[in-house]
Amino acid sequence: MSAIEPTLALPKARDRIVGRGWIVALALLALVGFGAWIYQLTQGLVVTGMRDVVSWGMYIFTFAFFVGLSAGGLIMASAAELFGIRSLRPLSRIGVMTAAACVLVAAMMIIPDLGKPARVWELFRYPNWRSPLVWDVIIIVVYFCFASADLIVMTRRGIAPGRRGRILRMMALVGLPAAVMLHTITAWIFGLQISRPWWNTALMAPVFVVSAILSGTALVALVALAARRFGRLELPDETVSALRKLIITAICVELYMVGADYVTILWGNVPSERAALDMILPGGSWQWVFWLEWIAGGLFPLILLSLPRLRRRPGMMALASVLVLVGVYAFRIELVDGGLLKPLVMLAPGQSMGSFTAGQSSFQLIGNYYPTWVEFAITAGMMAFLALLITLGYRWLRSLEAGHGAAEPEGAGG
Amino acid sequence: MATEQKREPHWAMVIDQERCVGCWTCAVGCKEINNEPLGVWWNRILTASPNEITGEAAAPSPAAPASDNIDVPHGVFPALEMDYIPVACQHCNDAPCLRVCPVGATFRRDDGTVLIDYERCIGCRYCIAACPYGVRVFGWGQEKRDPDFTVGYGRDYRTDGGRLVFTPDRPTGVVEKCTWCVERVDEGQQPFCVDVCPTGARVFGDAGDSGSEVAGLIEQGGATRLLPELGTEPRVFYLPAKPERSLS
Amino acid sequence: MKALTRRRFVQGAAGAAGVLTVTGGLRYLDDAAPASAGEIRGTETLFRTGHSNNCDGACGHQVHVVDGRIRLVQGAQWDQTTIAGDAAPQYNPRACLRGIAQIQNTYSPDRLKYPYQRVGERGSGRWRRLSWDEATSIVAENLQRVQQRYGRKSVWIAPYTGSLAVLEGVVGAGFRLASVIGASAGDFEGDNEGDSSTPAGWNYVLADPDLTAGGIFDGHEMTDFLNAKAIVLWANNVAETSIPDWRIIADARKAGTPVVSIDPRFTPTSAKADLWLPIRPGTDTALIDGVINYLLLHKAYDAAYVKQYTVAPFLVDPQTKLFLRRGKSYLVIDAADGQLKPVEQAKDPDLYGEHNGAQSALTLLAQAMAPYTPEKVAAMCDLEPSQVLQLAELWAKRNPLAVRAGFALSHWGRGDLTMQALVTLQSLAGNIGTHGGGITTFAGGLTTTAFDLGNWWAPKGTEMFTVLEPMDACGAMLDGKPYPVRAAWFMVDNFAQQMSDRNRVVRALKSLDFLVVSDYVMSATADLADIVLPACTYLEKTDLLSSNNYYLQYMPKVIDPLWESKSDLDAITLVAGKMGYGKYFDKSPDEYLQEILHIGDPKADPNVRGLKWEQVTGGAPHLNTPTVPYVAFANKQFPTKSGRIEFYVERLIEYDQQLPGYKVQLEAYRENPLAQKYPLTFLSTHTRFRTHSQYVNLPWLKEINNNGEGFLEINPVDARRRGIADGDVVRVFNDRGQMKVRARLTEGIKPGVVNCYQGGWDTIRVKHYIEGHPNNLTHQIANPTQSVIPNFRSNAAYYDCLVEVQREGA
Ligand SMILES: Nc1nc2c(c(=O)[nH]1)N[C@H]1C(S)=C(S)[C@@H](COP(=O)(O)OP(=O)(O)OC[C@H]3O[C@@H](n4cnc5c(=O)[nH]c(N)nc54)[C@H](O)[C@@H]3O)O[C@H]1N2
Ligand SMILES: Nc1nc2c(c(=O)[nH]1)N[C@H]1C(S)=C(S)[C@@H](COP(=O)(O)OP(=O)(O)OC[C@H]3O[C@@H](n4cnc5c(=O)[nH]c(N)nc54)[C@H](O)[C@@H]3O)O[C@H]1N2
Ligand code: SF4
Ligand code: SF4
Ligand code: SF4
Ligand code: SF4
Ligand code: SF4
Ligand SMILES: [Mo]
Repeated sequence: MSAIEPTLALPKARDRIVGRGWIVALALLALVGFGAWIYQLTQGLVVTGMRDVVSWGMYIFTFAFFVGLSAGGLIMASAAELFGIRSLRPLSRIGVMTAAACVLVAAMMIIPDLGKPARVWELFRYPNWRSPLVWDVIIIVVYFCFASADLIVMTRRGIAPGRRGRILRMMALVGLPAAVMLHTITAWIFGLQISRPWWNTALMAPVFVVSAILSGTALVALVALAARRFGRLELPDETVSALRKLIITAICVELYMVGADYVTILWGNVPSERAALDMILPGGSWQWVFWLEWIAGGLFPLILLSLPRLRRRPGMMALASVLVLVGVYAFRIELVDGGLLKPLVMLAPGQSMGSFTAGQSSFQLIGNYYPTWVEFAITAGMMAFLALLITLGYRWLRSLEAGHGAAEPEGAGG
Repeated sequence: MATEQKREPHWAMVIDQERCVGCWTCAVGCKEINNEPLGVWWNRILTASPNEITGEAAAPSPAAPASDNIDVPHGVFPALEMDYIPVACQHCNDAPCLRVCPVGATFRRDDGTVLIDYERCIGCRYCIAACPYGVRVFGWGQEKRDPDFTVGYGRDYRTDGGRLVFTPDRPTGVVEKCTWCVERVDEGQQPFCVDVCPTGARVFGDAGDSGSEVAGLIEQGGATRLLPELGTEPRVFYLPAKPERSLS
Repeated sequence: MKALTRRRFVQGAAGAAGVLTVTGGLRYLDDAAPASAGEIRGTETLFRTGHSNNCDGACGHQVHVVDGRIRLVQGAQWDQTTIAGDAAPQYNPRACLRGIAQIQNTYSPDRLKYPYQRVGERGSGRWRRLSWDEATSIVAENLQRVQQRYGRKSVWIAPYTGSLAVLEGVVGAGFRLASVIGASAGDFEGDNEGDSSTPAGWNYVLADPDLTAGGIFDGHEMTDFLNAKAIVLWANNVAETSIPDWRIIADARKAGTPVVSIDPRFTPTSAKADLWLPIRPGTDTALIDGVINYLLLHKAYDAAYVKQYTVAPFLVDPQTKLFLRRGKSYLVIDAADGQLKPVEQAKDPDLYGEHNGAQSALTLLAQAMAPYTPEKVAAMCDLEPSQVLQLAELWAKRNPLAVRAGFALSHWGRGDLTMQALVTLQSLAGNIGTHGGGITTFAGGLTTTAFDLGNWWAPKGTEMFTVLEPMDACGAMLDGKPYPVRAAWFMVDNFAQQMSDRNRVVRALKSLDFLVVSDYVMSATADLADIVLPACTYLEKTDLLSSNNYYLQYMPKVIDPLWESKSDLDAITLVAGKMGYGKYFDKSPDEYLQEILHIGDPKADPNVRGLKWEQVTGGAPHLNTPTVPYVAFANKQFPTKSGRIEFYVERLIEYDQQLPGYKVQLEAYRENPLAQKYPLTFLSTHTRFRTHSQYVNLPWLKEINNNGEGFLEINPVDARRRGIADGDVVRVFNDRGQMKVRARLTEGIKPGVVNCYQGGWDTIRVKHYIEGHPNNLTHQIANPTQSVIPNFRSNAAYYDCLVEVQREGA
């Protein structure tokens, strides 16, 4: 029993310095991102690499990525409660905290993408209920509130262990579908669009859920491993092994679904769909996405996690998790921009881009997109901010424990 | 006895591909009247093979064009074909852009005109992703204009209870597109592109009035629409080029 | 501490936003309504004017002006009546894309703003700004100096076709100046830059130069095409080069009239045609001969018409090859009694009569055309025999049949012959002077006879200037023959770019003692000048447009001249004054126009008789044409010696061209040994994105047109053979010069033919081709036959040109 009791132990002095440096670095990076956003506000989105053909870029696929990241924690915690998967229970609090942070930053990620960010409140004042974006805003808010509530329940003092367990189990009953809905609706922002054959597949939502679980789990694994290394988190082997199996399964299911989609497109050979897929498959101009997703983010992690020799090493697990995140990020790029690069109406001269550079064509037949430094800076800033939130969140959890002894998460079997 | 009510017109545009020679006058005219900056085209003319994206009678072209440029015919010499498809907003009956707009900035008037409220739009660009026809443009900023002063209509225009749908200078941070020249049409004029088309390929009018020219053309001309399979029901109709005339 | 971090962050964020809000930099965060100019301030004034550029359009423009600045240009309305008040055709041509882009042209940063004098080498591109007073003094002094030293004619004034306006354009004040100072000048008819050979051929058959003061050229009013039963667009890309006219062609086609396009390229025009014949360029005469042969063989010509209106029954003396005459009468065989008699006395002139070896002109024509069987023609023209038959049958069955012949035919060394054949064919079909028939290349030649141009060009007390054709002028500059030309004034003309054999032209211009160029942009010609004078555009001065249609379009001054530009008339007035000829330039534009139009003169030409000045300034009245729509020779009176259509041309006997048998071109023909080295025919055609060298650099048009960058259309077959891929840089060259552009692969051009649109700039400052210019390749080889028609005696055969193409770096 005590073997699986999570202990948020205090770090050593050296690690405390590393920890401070880490926080300062993240804060600085976040500030740089913020500065870049201010710069963007003065210039307009013209400082991004987006234009009228590819009008969604790094901000949106990072948004989709963050939304996915938020999956792991809550699903893990809920699954642990609902199905009594004890091996995952040690990760519940970290998981839920991570989920809340991710979904918060995901929501923030939308802001720099808006042309008129000051009008964002109109989403609540004049919601168009037919728009998947409005549903997404709602579910994001709900999800964030729910994760926060879950966290409060998990950490609040003075709740009797048995009662806490019952509440958590009841919350899990809502949490799991909420998580699934979050990813489903985010997927539907894309998947419901008839104008983008690449997006317009019923598989979009399931794939999104699976890849969310995959990336979310990888993130939790990474956080947990980091916590074990720097934060003296006691991470039982059983838990690590459960994480490993979850990641392996998720990789397989995700690649299976994406692969099935590829085959459908290849077999059907509808020109508009083929056009998009051909860009991504080996030989296409966006093939790097394929390699990142299938090899770097798929095959390698599978090898790292399944070869008996390698899988024992925690470093390998961390590496695999990072690769998985890279792969899922690539998948988000593929998903978002794959749908935009090749518009349905693809006849010369194409579509005007919305900006003019002397000597360069104002039209694009096939979309073209390279993020600018502004987008990299803002995105990196957001990522840093997320890491900061998670770090601080973890410290907060740890301080709770240090101050008041471990909050009892148990109740399993009770 | 019911008093006769003034019926709301039901605007539609017909583009006759048999007349259209891809001259781009309508597109340049659109730029002029709307003061569109360089790099922005609310209206553009696609080079295609006949009926390429009008669904019906889509004879797949015998061979792709040799180059991705305008005015390059499809096929292999001397079996060639080339048609022009002027494309601006199709003012879809069931407009995907309108459905996705989270704040209802994109709206449709009772006469069928799909418009954007520049004071409501948050610039999320979801509508750009949703529009199948690639006709929406975003105000990215740092617009370059030539000449460098305001040309064209030159006034604000508000409709439907004060919603701002046209301003003399293109606003940044919001999405725009063809407005069917509401500011002109509401005053009884024709959309500018219709006015300037040198070949008379564009006709605009009340499709609800069976006696109107557009209604007649839609009726008898075998009119098609772009990407009909999507069910967006555009209110821009294309009269496909008809089979060749007999020489004897 | 943790909480603090968070709070600090939030504060920082709020602080940053606050600062920026204060400084007002966050326009993208600003929730206020987008920047708005609100209501138009000032009053909006509307002007009606005519677009006088040389594009065969001559559209009316309605120009909206607010606070002295143009805000909108669009097509204008036309009067629905003639000057006399009769109904005019219901035709409202509307401005094209270039017309609309005039707002951009007027305010273009490329405008020439001030007078300049060159410093340093000619053509080095270094200039010193002058006042108008200084500049015109220098011009006056130099013209005088050169005239004193080399004779009066040694100054050449070259007003050409950049504008078709009456006072300042192609028929403009430059000629008046030339007459006043006794200079030589280029001839305006057909402008001699490629538009003269087909008019010459037209005159061979239809108008005797002795009876028409050197030659005329005319066509049918566009609306007359609605009367045709078939329309043949011969080497004419109407959908690009006469966009507003396409409306009529489309109307006719909608009504069931088939349209044929004969063109080696699959143009927007060909794409809309019911039959496209991708002919080998330069061989059109053979195809026409084939059709003539078919009509004669199948007796499918209009025998009654031919008998009455042509020289068909006239007998030709086998020795002299001249018509058999008795006194002034032409002799024929009367089929009624088989007797030889003057044609006036014959009841039924025999079309195939014969007398002592003298055969009828029609017999000779039939003999001459007999070799042109469908198979042979197909082989020569690189068509299928069935295609030749299709065209011939169309001619046989569809009557009337209207031809629009593009000036492209005139860009060939033997364009005269092609037109001669075409007129012959149309006369056999009874289509000359007939509604719904005819051969139209451009319309509106009528106005030149309706106006009093003689007195405009050579005011009383002066002698008409000496005509010196552009090609001859190059010789006069380089070799001093026929007389030396040592100074020139170019206005409305981009000679150093638009004239053929550009390297020769540049050599000639560089050899001059003095060169002044008036233009509204720094053209390639202006690059070479000693003095450049900034001209106005059509919107900044008063003039009259009457060309390409049958309307009078007053061109009021819509805005004041921009910067220090001046109208050409004002510039000429200043210079003439300083040369001591001020008295010939002492009127206002309106006064000149009233004189030219004979306002109030009862003896004015019937076409303008009764015209009131208010009609001119108040609208766009249609001329009083004999028929509406106007048709050349509607009265079937031909200004020839016999009064008939002389398809047997006595005047051409010395050139062995009395009948229109096919002859090879001057350079671009298959059998030419030069074709071994330079196997490709090089066309440099006209695109809708510019009018010659005008508007090329306007951003709106460039955006659509490949950023304004020129390209070479080449068939993938030819490209593959040379290892050229789409977008590759290629070198186009022959013995005269070279140019570099990117290749554009298109199936829309016949293998063996390449095309690079003419008109792009190759100036010191702006280059639309990677290197060089199409006219580096074209030649100045003259066709001597044409000299029999003085007004059209010289022609630049731009398309009659052989080249080879190589991938750059290969
Ligand atoms: N290779 C090749 N060359 C060709 C042709 C071709 O097909 N191929 N086509 C030929 C033909 S058909 C023609 S008609 C010629 C036309 O040749 P040009 O008549 O030389 O052509 P544009 O460029 O129309 O006008 C000449 C100049 O007049 C200036 N201009 C316009 N309006 C005014 C004015 O009011 N005042 C003054 N001072 N200047 C003015 C313009 O800026 C321009 O620089 O080109 C010929 N050249
Ligand atoms: N947009 C625009 N319009 C213009 C002008 C302009 O510069 N721009 N210029 C105006 C002037 S001055 C002129 S002269 C006219 C010219 O008007 P067009 O004669 O219509 O124009 P081009 O482009 O010279 O040639 C027309 C077609 O003839 C074809 N062609 C070339 N050689 C041959 C041949 O040997 N046989 C046959 N059958 N076809 C041949 C070419 O492929 C081309 O498509 O256009 C006028 N209109
Ligand atoms: S203006 Fe008319 S003919 Fe020209 S591209 Fe537009 S619709 Fe076609
Ligand atoms: S064409 Fe596009 S922008 Fe226009 S109504 Fe349809 S979906 Fe909306
Ligand atoms: S960009 Fe504006 S119009 Fe388009 S969906 Fe967003 S809010 Fe609506
Ligand atoms: S209707 Fe008006 S806004 Fe729309 S394409 Fe035509 S000119 Fe442009
Ligand atoms: S360029 Fe020619 S066709 Fe175009 S508006 Fe001017 S006159 Fe008309
Ligand atoms: Mo010309």
